[in-house]
Amino acid sequence: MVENKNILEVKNVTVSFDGFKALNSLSLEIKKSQMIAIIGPNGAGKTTLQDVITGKTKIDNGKIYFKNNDLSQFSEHAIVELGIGRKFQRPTIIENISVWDNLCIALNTKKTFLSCLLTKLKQKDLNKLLEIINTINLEEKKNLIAKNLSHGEKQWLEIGMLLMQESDLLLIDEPVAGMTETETKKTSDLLLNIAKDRTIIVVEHDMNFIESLNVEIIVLHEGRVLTRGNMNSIKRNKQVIDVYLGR
Amino acid sequence: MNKQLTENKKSLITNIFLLLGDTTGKYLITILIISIFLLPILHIYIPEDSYTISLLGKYLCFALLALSLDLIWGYAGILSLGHGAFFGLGGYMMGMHLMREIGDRGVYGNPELPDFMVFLNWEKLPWFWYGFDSFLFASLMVILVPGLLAFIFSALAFGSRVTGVYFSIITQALVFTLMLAFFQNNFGFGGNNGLTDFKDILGKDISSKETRGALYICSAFMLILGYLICRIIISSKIGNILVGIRDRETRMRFLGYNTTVFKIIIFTISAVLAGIAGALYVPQVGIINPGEFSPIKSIEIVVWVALGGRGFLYGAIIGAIVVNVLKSYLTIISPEIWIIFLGLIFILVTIYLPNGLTDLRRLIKRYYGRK
Repeated sequence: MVENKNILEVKNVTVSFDGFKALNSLSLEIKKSQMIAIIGPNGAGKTTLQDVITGKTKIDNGKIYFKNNDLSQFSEHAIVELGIGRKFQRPTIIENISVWDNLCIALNTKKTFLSCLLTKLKQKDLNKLLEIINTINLEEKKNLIAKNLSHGEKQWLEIGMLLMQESDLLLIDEPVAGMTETETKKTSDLLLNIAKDRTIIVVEHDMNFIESLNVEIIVLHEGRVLTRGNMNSIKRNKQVIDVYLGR
Repeated sequence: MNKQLTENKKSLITNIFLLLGDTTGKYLITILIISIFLLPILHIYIPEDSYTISLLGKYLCFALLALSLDLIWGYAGILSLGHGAFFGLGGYMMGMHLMREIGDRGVYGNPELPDFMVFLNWEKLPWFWYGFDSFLFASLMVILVPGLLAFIFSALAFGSRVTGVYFSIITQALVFTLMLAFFQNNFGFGGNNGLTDFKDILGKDISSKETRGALYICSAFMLILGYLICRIIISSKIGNILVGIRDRETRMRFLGYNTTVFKIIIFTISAVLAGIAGALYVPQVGIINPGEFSPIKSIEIVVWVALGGRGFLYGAIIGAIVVNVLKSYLTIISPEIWIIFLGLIFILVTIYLPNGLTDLRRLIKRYYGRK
């Protein structure tokens, strides 16, 4: 088989809700180990795009390939097993268990009822847990019940859970919404740090944050890709200014 | 740093049997074990009393039923308002065996057919009564029938992603349907009289003191076993996964868990425990009738768990026993007052003790801590 440099290929995907085309034969490719930012006005299809990639929403037309697998053949949890992790806009962690337990349930092991009942943590799992809890800077709060974390810490915990899964592709939806400036800075450091060995798609409104990431940007508009490029070219693009950035 | 590792190195099983970190559970099981040795002996040597031990055994059956509900409601957030369905079915399976045990000692003296079938002019035993003359077969059915029904029912419901209050409503519909069906005379389970007039169990007189004592021991033993099974499940990773399903099912799905399968399995385990409780209940009260399937009975189970405190396992046991002891005494004093009283304590507990009676311990601790 030919080595495919694109980890994700979206080909002419259309999704409509009651006649409204949330995605309008959208196509895009994302290379392995690349961090990319997706921006666009409300209703551009950013959330729908994530929904179809993770299998939450079914596609009307078109195909999505992840590591050469046709995703329409997989259910939501099977797509996770293929290596796609999703970070929701609002922090979706399990509030009533500890930080440590949150990471434990995200551990990339067999996730059947029986294996969850019987298997114990192995030394290498434990090392991984400790490594990731350090990466997300929560080692001092590992025994805290997760609902007591601050907003920013919850977002990092969720990113940590995605790291536990060892996903090859992370979809991250508005990670810094509602964060303080220091938290935003910490988040961009965290993302840049973890982007070294995985592909990340960040959907974000905060232009300063995207600028600080210094990555390629895809602009969505009315369910299509308007343009893609680096920050400078996007800022100068007339269409983008018209539909999104404003004059 | 290596606290987790050393904790982890102790095997899960030893943790469970020593009930580490579960003080209340330890006390509860100790009390049950002591009662296993003490009560039947006391019972046999107090000549005038022939009733108390069955009453206590009945409480333990209700405790097991409440425990089974807490497993799904307290942890996975699945509120079943129809758990009486599985309790009742387990009871009927045992009842069918006890009916067959009567043999030709019935009113009509028919060796093959139970009285109600003779009364209905039935010629021969319906096919679904085959095999129930064997205790082993009946015991197997006690597990299989509620388990299978729960499996099919929950697979259909959870498979089409019916959750929350909608699920609760269809569980009510399930138990109501069963009640209507079992009320039918020609359904083959004795209609509204149900199954009763049992003579003996495993060849022993069912109303003798020794049998009652033995049934009490079985109930206590099953309750302990049920508690340990639930505790093993909850202490494993499954406990956290169930809480995850309760709080954020989508997150769990995006973590790669097939949450539907987890819910089906836990619901089925819970139904089997409820069925066993029903099977132990029937020989101790001497009757099973469609009243067990009445929706209000299933709602009462929820009240026991809520009063005891959901999501602790032992809370459900304490709740079921406390409410039923109160019920026994208050209905003797004044049957009308009981339901009002139950409503009242339910309201008070929900307002002042959000974790049910388990909050009492915390309140007491705080009170003495201040002194």
